[in-house]
Amino acid sequence: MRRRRITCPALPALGMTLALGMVTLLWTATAFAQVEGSLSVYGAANGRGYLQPLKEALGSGLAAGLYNTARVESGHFRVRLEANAMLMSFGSSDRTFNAHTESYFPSDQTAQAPTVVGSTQSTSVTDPGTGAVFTFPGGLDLSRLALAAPQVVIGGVKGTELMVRYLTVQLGKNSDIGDLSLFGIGARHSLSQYMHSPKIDVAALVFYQSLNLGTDFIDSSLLSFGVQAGRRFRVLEPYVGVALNSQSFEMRYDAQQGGSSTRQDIKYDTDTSLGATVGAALHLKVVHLNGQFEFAHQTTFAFGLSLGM
Amino acid sequence: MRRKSFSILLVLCASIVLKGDGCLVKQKDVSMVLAGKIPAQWDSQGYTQATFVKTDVVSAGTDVLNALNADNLAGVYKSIKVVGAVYEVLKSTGHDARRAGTVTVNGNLLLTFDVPHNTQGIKGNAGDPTLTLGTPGLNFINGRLQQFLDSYNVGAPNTALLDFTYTANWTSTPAPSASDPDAFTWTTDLVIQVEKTAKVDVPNI
Repeated sequence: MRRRRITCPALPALGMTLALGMVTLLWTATAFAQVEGSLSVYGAANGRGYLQPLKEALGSGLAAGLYNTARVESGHFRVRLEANAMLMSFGSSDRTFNAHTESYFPSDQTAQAPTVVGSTQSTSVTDPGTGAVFTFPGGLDLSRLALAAPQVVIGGVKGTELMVRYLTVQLGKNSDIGDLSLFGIGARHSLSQYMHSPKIDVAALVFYQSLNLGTDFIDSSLLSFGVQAGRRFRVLEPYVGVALNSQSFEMRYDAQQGGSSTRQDIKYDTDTSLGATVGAALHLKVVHLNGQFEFAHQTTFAFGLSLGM
Repeated sequence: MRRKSFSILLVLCASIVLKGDGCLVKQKDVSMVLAGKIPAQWDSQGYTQATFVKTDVVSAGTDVLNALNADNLAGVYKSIKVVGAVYEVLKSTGHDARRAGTVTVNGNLLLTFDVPHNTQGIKGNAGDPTLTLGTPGLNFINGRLQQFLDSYNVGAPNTALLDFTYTANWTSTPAPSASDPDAFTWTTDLVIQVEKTAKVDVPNI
């Protein structure tokens, strides 16, 4: 009896999209872990400036790729498995910050020093009175940052769907930094179901995410409220969206402040900002492919591949 | 047909990530800076004279090696230098005195201080008027540190270069007496920076 081989090209592609995002995410996390040593020369003020682009990129990345359609189906149960990869681009203003020499240096001087994504070259200033030289460390010279997020969407009840993101990556036993974990949970609800003969699909979204790197190196969370609108033309669906994103970000490291090593706990003020999304999706029965631009602190390109109804 | 279109779209997406150069990770030479300290502690318990003078040998080898190995990254060390100084009163009982004086290293002026109050926990640094870093001492120690780094880089670290002879002297106002002796301990730390170039694997996207 001849056995029929069942193949689905989308499954390995789904894995590949996710693996690609995870590999870049892993290397990014590892690279950031390696510059933690350089942070030891920075107190809270300089540490905040050095890490600012990382904070903003994580906020922009987490806000992207949450959905690939404005439609929320109703009337039948559906499950969708999604793999999302987000690429956040850094601008020239992200590469330097206005750094000050630390208090133990004989004079207060400023310099445009590299941020964590800035030039790999250090910058130095000299105290005119004593000739002492203070050196600000270099960055990683990054143009972009990547995030990956596997997501499960379960829906079909009264135009509502539940979305869950989860990812945990062990950075290795020898890593100083620990593990990376991402958890997100949210829901979308169809607004167009309340309209008479709607020409477009409209949905509302609420989503909470937390991203942790190490036991207490980076803790970031994002709460998003948004509205999406789109229209399907056979298999193609262009869509737009706006969202209000509220991000909290906290980072801890050991700094050599004066004579003793002190734990720096850098807690940024909660940052609430508007983000806009423009994207398009191809819906091929059970396979869905989408790409979108997210305009927030950083411009983010997200693409995703999903399987399901 | 649909399968072919799907594959083309997938390759397009992947090429955006890979930038066409086929490598997700790139090794870069990153200029990193590590911090450390060279501490010295001064103890004038039971001292009854207005002027205190004491000479100590400070062996900074362990402190400097700790700074060099503050992270686990392999790299090429470029420089090691003193960038500042701090002090802290660790213990002070009895009368509160103003203390003004100097610390020299191998006869070279390193620190000049004038601290109006010396209660326990008082701190200061070279960025405020109570403490001044001296160029002769700074240049002397930086010269020794660089000589040590040169020996370290060729695999024969000469820690004897990091044995410094410190002399501290200060005047207390009001002066201590037999009935109210100095019970005073303080520490002066030199803050050092180590600059090294490390090879770091970063995402190339």
